[in-house]
Amino acid sequence: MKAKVSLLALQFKDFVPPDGKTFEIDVPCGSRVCDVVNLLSERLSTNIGEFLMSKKVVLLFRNRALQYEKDADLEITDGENFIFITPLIGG
Amino acid sequence: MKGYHGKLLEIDLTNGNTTFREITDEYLKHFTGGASLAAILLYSRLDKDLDPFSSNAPIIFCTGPLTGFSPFSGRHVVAGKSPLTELWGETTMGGFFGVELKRFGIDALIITGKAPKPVYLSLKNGTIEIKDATHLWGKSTTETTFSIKNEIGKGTRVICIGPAGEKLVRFASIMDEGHRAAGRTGMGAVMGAKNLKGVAISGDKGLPEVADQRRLKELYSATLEKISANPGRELWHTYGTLMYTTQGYEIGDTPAKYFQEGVFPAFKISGESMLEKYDVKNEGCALCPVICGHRVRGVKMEYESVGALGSTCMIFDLDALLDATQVCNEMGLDTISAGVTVAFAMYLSEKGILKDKIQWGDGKACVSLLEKIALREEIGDLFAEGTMRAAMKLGIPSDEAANVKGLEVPMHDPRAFSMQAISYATSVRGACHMRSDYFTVDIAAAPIPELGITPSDRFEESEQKVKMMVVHQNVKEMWNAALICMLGIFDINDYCGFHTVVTGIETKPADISLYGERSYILKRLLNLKLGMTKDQERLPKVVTTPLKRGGTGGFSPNLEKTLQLYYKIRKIGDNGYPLKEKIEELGIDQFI
Repeated sequence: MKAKVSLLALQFKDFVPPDGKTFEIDVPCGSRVCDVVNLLSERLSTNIGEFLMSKKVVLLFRNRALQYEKDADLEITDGENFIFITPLIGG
Repeated sequence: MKGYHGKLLEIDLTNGNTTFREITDEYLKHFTGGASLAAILLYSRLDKDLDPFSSNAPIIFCTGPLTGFSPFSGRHVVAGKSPLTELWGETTMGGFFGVELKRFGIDALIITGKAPKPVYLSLKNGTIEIKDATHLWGKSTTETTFSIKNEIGKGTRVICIGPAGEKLVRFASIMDEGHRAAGRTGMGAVMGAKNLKGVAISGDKGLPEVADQRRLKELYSATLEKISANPGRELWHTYGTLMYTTQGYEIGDTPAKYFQEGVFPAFKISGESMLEKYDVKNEGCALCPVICGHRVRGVKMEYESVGALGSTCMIFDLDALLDATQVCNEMGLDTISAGVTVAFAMYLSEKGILKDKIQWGDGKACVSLLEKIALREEIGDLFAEGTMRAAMKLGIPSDEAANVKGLEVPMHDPRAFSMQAISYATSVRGACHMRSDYFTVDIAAAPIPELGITPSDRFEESEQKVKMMVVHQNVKEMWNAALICMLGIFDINDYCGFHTVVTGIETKPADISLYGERSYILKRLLNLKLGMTKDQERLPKVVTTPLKRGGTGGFSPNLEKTLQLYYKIRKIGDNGYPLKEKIEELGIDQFI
């Protein structure tokens, strides 16, 4: 199945081009949130889970900011969005 | 009271009279400072029939309890009756003026009357002079600032208006050293109506005594260390608010095409694109350890300007966007209202309602219209009135004019966060993203767990969520009273610590909510006195119609539901007035 990923966090800016931050990845059926995070971590060679645990990066999933330590095992469905942001705000 | 001078200066421009008056401890204890203190000081002087452009209309510049004492305290507020909404108008700005005002030996400056010819005020080393500004009339904000500094002396801090304020454009801004803006609600036009081009200030009295100087020094050092260790400091310094554009886009928060489109090339106008393409220089405010301001190609840029003059007008050419922003900064126009108003003109042009062709994405047409607005020339005269009045004059339904109570909707789409929608509907100054920027809670950027305000589903509209929003709105009211930068790395506990050592009043997070609630209810009473009705607490359809694509996921806020919850929680009656018991509980009845 597919997961739509948006790597918008500033911490990842060197890994993705400015116009290519949003893309789709293939994930096995039955995947959990942490599987997507691990897959991306491998692809970027950086530990995204650590960024999420330290709250330097926030994952918006199902319209809410996930608490990764609690929600990492949530099972996902086909086509869901994973938006990674730096929790800083516009004025 | 410690932390304040307990004094204000009033200047009548009609006759040149100047008067120092006491601000009582009771006022300071209840209303603390900033926008809240400004509201109680002007309460009895404002009414429904007062023309904001008349000589009787006062304008106030006010500092906060921590101004000059804590990091992120270099702000002040400008307030009075708004020519845009004809309700309470308040607009805060960073820069340097606020700290100088306090160093001059006053907590607030009230200006009334109208000078017989253009003037500027010089407040320097205890002297107050009304100086001729005939030679500055018509000049840009940067030219004016430089000229006044040359005349008064380099150590002087200057705020001024541009040609838009002189021409009484209803969303004219005031600029601090061509750098920071008091943009919203048209206070620049109130200055213009008084023939007041600017105020130059240099304080030599120093800051007032604080309750515990030793603890203040320790707390200041410890807070600076904490800020330095925060990884957000470096990101803020490097990107400022400009980094938000692509993030805002992805979650549907950044509007486009006059709030009608959810998909657009946000990366083209992102902070990263600007940093890559142009020379970018940092610029900060007084007492700021972050310095988040950015001059891009020499133009002061912020996220709100990018959204309003960029995506809302479908302008994705960076040079055109910078040109448009520069016109606003130099002519003295609020970039948010200006951008939304230009987008409204583009929308009307597309519908064939305007004779003038102003097409989506046409940067040159945008710049040209902004110049015409600032000078009230040709079609600009109509749009200088803002979207609400322009729609009325053209016979366009109010649901197509993107404003609340007359104030144009800022760059956080109310379809992206349910509580942002109710914040716009109920804010004390119309559609304002800084009197509860609730989206910051739901993206986990600035929750306030000390008061039970934590992230949840951004589209949720439960009673519990509205309760959190009410408390958040209270806290933001207090932030506008305290005049601490909302973008500062400074949380509610930091604030309480500083408030305690500066004023000597032991302050806890729950007190912040109480101060804020008092401020909100006071301003609501003032707005009702000025003619506000409950019917005005609504959003136009143009910003609530579900978008077919983009990050809002087709959400439309159910304001009918959330407003009922809001009124119940706030104890607001059917007539829009807070219940008597609430007014008494907050102790406001003693003052009005």
